[in-house]
Amino acid sequence: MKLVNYKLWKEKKAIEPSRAFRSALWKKLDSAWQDAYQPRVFWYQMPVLRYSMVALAVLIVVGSSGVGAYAYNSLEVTEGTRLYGIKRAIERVEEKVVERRKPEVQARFYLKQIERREAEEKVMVKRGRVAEQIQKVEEKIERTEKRLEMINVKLDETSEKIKDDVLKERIDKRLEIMEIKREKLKNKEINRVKSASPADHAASNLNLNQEPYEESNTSTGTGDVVGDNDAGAGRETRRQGETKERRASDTDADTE
Amino acid sequence: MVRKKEFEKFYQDNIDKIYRFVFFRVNKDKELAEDLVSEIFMKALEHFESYDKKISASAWLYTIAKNHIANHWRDKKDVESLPELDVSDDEDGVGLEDRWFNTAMAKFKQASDKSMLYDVLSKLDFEDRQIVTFHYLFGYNYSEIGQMIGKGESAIKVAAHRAIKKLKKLL
Repeated sequence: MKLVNYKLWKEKKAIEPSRAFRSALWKKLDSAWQDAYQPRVFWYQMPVLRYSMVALAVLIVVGSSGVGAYAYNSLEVTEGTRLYGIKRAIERVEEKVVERRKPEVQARFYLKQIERREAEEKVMVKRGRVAEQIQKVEEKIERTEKRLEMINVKLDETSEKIKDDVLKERIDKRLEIMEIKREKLKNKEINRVKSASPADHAASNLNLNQEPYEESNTSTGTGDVVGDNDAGAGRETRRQGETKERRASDTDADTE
Repeated sequence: MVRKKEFEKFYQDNIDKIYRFVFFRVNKDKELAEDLVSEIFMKALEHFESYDKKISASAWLYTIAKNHIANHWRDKKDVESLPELDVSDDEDGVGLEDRWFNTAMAKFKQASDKSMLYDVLSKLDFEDRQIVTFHYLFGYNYSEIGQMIGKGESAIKVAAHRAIKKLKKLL
């Protein structure tokens, strides 16, 4: 069963759109979206007014509430804590404001987001939080990295060069780390399949719907269920192991 | 109003799946696949506001893709490439519009000498082959496939399991 799954997975991986095509198509869709759906109300057309309104709202929320300010600034407020919802809400508003600005500003924002999530992750590990919560933070980091990747494409395509060399360096470094992480995960999966023992083989028969070869995909949630408790526990352990390894590799990359 | 974030998520979730489907459908012609995928997403963007959220977004996009490809072949009038002409008439239960699937499979089989995979896949019956291909090669989940071919999620799951077992024996 493993061999069949592996062959199918390998074939699936061979048929993938290139990164250049993916980003070029998104760029095209993005500009088509702007043409088709950009709001036409008068005040929205005036960027200064628009940004000031949103910035004012953020200021009111953050400024009027000490709790909000604490939640936003504190690294102790992490996934699973009560104030985390407030923190994320403020960040989402901040993101809305940044989204309308230059790619350079957006890149800075996403880099800051990644650093914040990583700092939170460290606090969570120190406190011995459950792997599931840490996994959630890692997924957030991954999503933000993907956004940063798209912004980087935009930056490369703009006629104006980035004036801030430090920023460019930070983006490149982060994307490099992301590539290494992806590559490591891919190799790990390949090695795991190759070295699968007959016992695993039997286990895979029990756990029919497990798809270890697919990349995590938010849209495939409904179709996959866990086969039995043992297999579920095994996967949990493996995930915890992977989480630790990824953290270790991230730390290595940061040190470099 | 269409929310950009929502559309961005829709794009990220579906680009790989739909590309694989189109690539498979146009017999590994990368350039043509890229052109068609671009057009399909542009169509999806145009109608994104009116799409019924009750059905899966992937199944909706698949329908757009299927129709778009059919129109492409019709407009081209490329008789040699019309998939149904390559297939023998003895395949009971396989609709004319689904015969492209068998043709694509045959072409892939010829192209990939290294792998026995397509050879073995072609030994499965039509529905099993379709489920395995959509789930394991294109990346659709069981519920999405269920919506595409009008069957329940659990039925698809069982069929996929049986098909994989058969493949294992054949390999």
